[in-house]
Amino acid sequence: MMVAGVIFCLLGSLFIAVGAVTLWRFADTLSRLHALTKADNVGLGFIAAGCGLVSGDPWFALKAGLLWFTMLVVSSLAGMLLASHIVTEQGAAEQRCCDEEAAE
Amino acid sequence: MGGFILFAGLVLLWLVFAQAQLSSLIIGLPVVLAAVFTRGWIRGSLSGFSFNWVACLRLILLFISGSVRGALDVGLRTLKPDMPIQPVLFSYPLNNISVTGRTILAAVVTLMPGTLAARLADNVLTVHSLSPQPEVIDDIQACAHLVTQLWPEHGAAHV
Repeated sequence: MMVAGVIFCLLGSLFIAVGAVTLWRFADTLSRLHALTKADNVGLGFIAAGCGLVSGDPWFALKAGLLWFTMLVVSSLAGMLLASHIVTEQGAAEQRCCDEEAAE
Repeated sequence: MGGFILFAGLVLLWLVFAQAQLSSLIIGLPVVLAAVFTRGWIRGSLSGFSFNWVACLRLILLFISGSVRGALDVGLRTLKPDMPIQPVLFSYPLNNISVTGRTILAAVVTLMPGTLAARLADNVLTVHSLSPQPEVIDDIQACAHLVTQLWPEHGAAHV
């Protein structure tokens, strides 16, 4: 149990580290959101599972699982709201640009 | 009735996280009440839910497998030296999907490999994809099919 838990925690840390590298390497905000909504969530899931296994306490494992599921829901909705704002702003900026060109 | 169920569910969730310490409700109760009273600002609700064990289980499995595949996909793209990404925005029509189903679909699509729900307006879901691959559309269609089974079109009438 302990060994499996530690392996899960290490795997989770790896996903979170990859998520951090993604934030650094991807050029635009929308692409970076992919890292926040995917790699970090899965990393947290592995860490939650690992902590549950290491603790050996079913109540703690249940809480960790519930926390992970709550994070999944919140993160996907927050990612969607941020992306929606960015797309709307980009559309408005393009519209302003077109309007200015038309005015000239 | 829906508000009371939401209130009870959120209080229970809070108490689980706070190790059943009733004193934590000093913070938890106002937060839960704020969530219950502001839920009307969000379009859609869980009303119109048509329980289907098979579809529910398949959606949960798709959600979890999609998250893991999505994380691996992003990770592999990041770690490759040439970083194979060609970001594109495309529209996915949402005909025959209820208002609630659209919100659920957008949330699931955000966790699927290579896709991010970027905008939900009228009958169209704008999706941001890391590369223009046809499998992306197949994944969204599979999600949409399951969501339609759980929240049929008539659910829109409750919103």
